[in-house]
Amino acid sequence: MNPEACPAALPAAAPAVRSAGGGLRRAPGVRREGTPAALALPAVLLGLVGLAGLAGCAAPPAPGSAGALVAGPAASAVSGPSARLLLRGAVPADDRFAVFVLGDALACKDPRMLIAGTPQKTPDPATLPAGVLTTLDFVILRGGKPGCFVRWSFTPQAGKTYLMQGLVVGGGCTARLFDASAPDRPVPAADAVLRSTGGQACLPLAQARANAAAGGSLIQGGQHNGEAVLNPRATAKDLEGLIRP
Amino acid sequence: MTGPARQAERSACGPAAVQAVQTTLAKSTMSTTFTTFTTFARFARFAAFTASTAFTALAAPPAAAMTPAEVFAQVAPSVWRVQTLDADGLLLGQGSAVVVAPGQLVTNCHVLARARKVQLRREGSAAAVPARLVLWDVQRDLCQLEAQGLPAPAVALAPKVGAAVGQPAYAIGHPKGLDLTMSAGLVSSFRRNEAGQLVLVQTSAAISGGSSGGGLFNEQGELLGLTTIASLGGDAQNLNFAIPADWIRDLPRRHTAARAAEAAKPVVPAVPAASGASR
Repeated sequence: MNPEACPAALPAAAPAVRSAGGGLRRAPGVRREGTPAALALPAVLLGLVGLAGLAGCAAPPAPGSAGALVAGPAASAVSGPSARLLLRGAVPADDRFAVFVLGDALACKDPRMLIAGTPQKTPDPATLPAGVLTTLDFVILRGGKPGCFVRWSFTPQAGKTYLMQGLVVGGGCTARLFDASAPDRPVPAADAVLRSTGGQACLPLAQARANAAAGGSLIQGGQHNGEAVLNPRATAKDLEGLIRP
Repeated sequence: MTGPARQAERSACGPAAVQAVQTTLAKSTMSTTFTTFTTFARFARFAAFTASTAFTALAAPPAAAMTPAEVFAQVAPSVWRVQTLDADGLLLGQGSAVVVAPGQLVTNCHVLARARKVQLRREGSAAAVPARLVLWDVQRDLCQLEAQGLPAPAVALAPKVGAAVGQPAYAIGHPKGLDLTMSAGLVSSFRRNEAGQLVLVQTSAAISGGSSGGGLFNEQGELLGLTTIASLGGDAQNLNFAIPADWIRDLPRRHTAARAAEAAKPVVPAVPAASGASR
């Protein structure tokens, strides 16, 4: 899978809204109502996944990219300090899900399949070198071909366990990277940044970090109690001086 | 309304503004009546035409499109400059607001952030009109001000459906202290949340700091939304966003619901600090 994996299905890049903290993160056809189909996933994970990381595209990547990839032995070839990566996915029965590691983490190039699973079989953990910037793609495989991906970058820390948690939502997919060192209390991986957003398949790292620091862009909006809102986290604190008791 | 980028976004359309107004309520009534009459007359003609040609599929006829100058003449009296003041009466910031009912204006809540007092101004009017916050929906960045006796007509809200990408859009506000600035563009897109619900109307009509809370109007002079977010940076052009006018309709209901939910929250008694460390 290359950076041009599925640009056609992503909204046209909005290069400018960069300073707005972000991009336009949207998966065509994705509806939140689809989320419950993720079934059986811990509610906390679903909630976190729902809050961020929705991305993806329905169009398959360019032929000859990820589709031609074969699982590599990288997972077991790590020497030195390392971290563990778990993979979980909620996908239709006939689909598979996988994580690709990108040889060029900055430029999102040289993908190699790391681990893969099916709804019926949980994949074995993979090992990642610690202290190295790493870019991972959560990929849905349909008929053996990548149909949707979400791209995260982070720097694994030695001894930690990370979890890539993804699911199919409508015509797209969503995935989030967690620090699951405490397996019953997974939290978003501290330095993980979403690269496949803003209509781009490989958002520059600095921009992705700026987006993460801003908590996402207002432009993508949100939802509260089932209704559309601009900023679900907004409070009336700034209006206290005008609110009469 | 937190986060550096958010602030950056906001600051693009936050402080600034302008204005003056001398429109009378009588004037507003006249223009409203005129619009209604025009629409009715067109409908009558349309109905007669369809009846005579045995058309069965009837659709509401589009209201007459106005020229930009006509749009401005109709709605500019309803767009005011909002000034926020701190506890000492010092100017804190400026933005824009649009009259949506007699004495009632809507603006972005971020325009009012940290204010202790709010007033309205228009170019040419010496005295500021005091206003007070009556409804707020911070998650939608939509606040309503009341200014009793404000001599300004209300604008009409655009219908819930019907807006289309590519249709003309006009932004009127008070950017950079430039009173009643109008810019023209298109409805560029509709931005939706992950659930597919409309969140923002994207427009190529230029807005700047001080435009926040100003109006984005269609060719009929109806309010499409409140200009809220502008793109910043050298690599962005004409990427501007308005919260949808439909949210104005929801404001009273959502405000009431939010206040009720707030009131229903159990009061958690303060827990005295534990004395003595654990052993």
